[in-house]
Amino acid sequence: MTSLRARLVLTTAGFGALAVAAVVLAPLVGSTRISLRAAFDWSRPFNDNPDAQIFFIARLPRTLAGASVGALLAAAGVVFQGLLRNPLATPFTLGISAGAALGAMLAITFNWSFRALGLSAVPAAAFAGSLLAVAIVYGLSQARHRGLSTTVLLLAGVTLNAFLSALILFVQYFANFADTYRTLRWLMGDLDVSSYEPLIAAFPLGLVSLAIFAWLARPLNLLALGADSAESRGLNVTGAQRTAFLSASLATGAAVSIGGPIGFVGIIIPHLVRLIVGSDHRLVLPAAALFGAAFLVGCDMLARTLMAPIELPVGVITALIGGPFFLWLLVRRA
Amino acid sequence: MLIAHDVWFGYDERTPVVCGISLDVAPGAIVGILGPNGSGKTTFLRLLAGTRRPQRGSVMLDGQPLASRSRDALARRIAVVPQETQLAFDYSVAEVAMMGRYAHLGAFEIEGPDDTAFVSAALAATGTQQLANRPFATLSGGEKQRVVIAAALAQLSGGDDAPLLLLDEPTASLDIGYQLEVVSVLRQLHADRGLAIVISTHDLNLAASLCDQLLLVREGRVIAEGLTETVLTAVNIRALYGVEAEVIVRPSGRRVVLPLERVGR
Amino acid sequence: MVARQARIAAAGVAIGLLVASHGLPVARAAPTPARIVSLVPAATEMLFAVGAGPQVVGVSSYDTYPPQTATLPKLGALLDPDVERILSLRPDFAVIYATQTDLERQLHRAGIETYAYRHAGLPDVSRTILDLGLRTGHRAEAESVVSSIDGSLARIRRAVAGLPRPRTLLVFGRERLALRGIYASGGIGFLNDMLTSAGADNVFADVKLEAVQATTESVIARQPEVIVEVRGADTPMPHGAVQDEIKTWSILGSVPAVRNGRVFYLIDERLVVPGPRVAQGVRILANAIHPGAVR
Repeated sequence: MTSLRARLVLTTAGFGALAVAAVVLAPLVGSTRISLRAAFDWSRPFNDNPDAQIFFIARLPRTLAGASVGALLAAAGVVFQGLLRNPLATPFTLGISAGAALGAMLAITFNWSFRALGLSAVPAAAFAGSLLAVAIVYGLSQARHRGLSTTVLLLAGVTLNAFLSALILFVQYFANFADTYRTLRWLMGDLDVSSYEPLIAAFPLGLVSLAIFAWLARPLNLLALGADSAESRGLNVTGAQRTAFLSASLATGAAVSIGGPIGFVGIIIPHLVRLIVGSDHRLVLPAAALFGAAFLVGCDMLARTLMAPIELPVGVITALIGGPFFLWLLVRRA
Repeated sequence: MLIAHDVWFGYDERTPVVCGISLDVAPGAIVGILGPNGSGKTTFLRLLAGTRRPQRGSVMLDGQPLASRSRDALARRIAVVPQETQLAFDYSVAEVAMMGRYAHLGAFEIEGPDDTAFVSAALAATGTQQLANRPFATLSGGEKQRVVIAAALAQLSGGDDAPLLLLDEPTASLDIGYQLEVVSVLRQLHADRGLAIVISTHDLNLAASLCDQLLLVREGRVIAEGLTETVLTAVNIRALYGVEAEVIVRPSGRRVVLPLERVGR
Repeated sequence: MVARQARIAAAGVAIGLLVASHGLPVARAAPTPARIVSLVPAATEMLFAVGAGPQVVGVSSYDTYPPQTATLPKLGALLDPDVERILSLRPDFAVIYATQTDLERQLHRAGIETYAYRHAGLPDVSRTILDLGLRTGHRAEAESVVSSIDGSLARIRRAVAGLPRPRTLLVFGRERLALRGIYASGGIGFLNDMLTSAGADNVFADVKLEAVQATTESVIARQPEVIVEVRGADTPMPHGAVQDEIKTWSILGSVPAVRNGRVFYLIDERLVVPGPRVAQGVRILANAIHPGAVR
């Protein structure tokens, strides 16, 4: 039995290298060909240098967006699975994506125009919508119990998902065809952020969530034993569950504000990672965050180049890879 | 050491599950809590472990209420082995045992050589060291229970005060071979480490063979308590289970209970 | 190029006339409808333009033009046609989208003639006007509407002929105050035809789709000399908001259109409805792209 410290170093180095490789490689490819020499030719004014603008405005923020969203969704997926003690939970199981979708749909349909905290209307409304969903689910799960009931959490989340979906259909009644189409495309995810502002806006939240995840690793291990056993091992179960729910929800909200509700990252990455490093959350969490970053950046590379000059929504790529994987997982468990 | 005094508890206000039970666990004692299913044994153990708080009465450890101690300080004194352990994810046996060390480590601390030594010793004491790298989920019921006991031992290792192990029907889902296996592990631990043990069970023979002190609980109330040889009588068994039984005293002094027929209380 | 456009338009008209003069079997058999419903805003405009307005008894929920439509019953649209309401108006002729096959079947069962509207290029506007004129008993008016559209288009094409044709990005949808979710006209369809008629080349001419989701990279890489954003009149915006939207492009300084201040944000229903006012839409576009060239 190698020590945890050694495995942690090995895991971080391995998946870290993968993530770094993806982030370095991704800005070099795209739907068009650019000259790197020209892009890094500082003697030319930036505003006169299409190669530099493609590299620094189109590709680099997009790559960083993919890495952030991938890391946040994959790590949040791990936390939700640990919290709900259900390996099939995703960051969107508890209604966060439906809340975000409702916000985005409202912003698109009613043509809202504002900027808040560096976010334009659609991502800001999506983030607000996800917070609303989180608040409702949390309130419901607290209502009857002394602590936090994961069963109520799950039921409330699933019900809220259905309810918000109905609200979305209702709002759609006011939308014209083009708005509906744009909302649909937003739901498939889009990492073409075209500036660093959405990343900067989500950065503090993402960072705080990841720091909390680091603390949550050991509590999540204990929660795998069941609430009573975890409590008797010395864990403040209710506190840990609250922290897990809120931090994972914020991470998911931050990710959705950047790239929309990109599916499957939050479930296939945790599972792949567990197959490789085992179940100890102190290894699974960093590995999932790094692998999630690499995976989404890679999927986005495919989305940008497969059918160039047309681009596929990145959510289509993750779903095409994730759907069959998910089914395989179900069959394997059964 | 651990004293429960007139403890009451109910999951909702109208139906108390534990109605005024008192118990005094001395260091190194082995106490059995006997009673039919649904008699409140599990809940009473939770009150003793401090994972639930009594609505009336008190549970004191060394003269201080359990609630005055932090969760991890309490966990360093009292460990619990539940009836069954179902893991949400695939952990190895070593990882499950290492989880017992949670209360001894700081928020971001990684286990050191001491912790590894305690876990190895705990696995050895329960005869599970050769299973260390096996996935927990692939073990038999008896092996799982021994590993969970090892985790509880690891949890109680390295503390300075007299440790306490609470077991909640640890053999209920095991066949007779595994039952005896677990009992012998417990007896060994008691002999080697001077653990105080409180074990809830509805298995009269297990209680007879292991415990020196019994608490008979029916519908949340104590109907008899005291030394095993004085409490384990045909009259008490009938009162507890509504079963006519013969209590046989073997030449070694150990008692064996032979249930004969159901007669009603 | 201009000649080719004209030929395409002429061909469209010719086909239309051919159909008109020989007539379709259904059209000949059907009597002139007295009660018409239209679920297609562009077709509603056409019906009114050819003089079938008085026969129209119901329109789509998105109809705003001509103003008479305001008082007519609203019957839903592409995704949510209100079949009960349609039937309760006892129409004898319905203009619906070609993709509404279920609705078509229901209407046929009720004995209601239908016209399946197809959204396509500029020449199809004329063809549809002629079709609708024929079916509603307004053939002569339809022909005169079409010839007036063709005349206007020809005048615009003549005016921009010989002028340099700027490479233009035509955007019809985008997130507010961000360069995200950009939808642009591809190399086919009505918007592309309008753009080429107005004397510009589409930067996405090679993408044979009506709508392209344009990424930041593709916009920079294709270096448009002009960027025109078109929005329907259901998006009323104060002048300052329009300026803010134009300013949103300013981060892409390497794009000639941005550097040279040739980004336009035009809000006009005529730019987005492929109806009888389409030539006016082309004129608005041409005025933005070639200021002063078209009177």
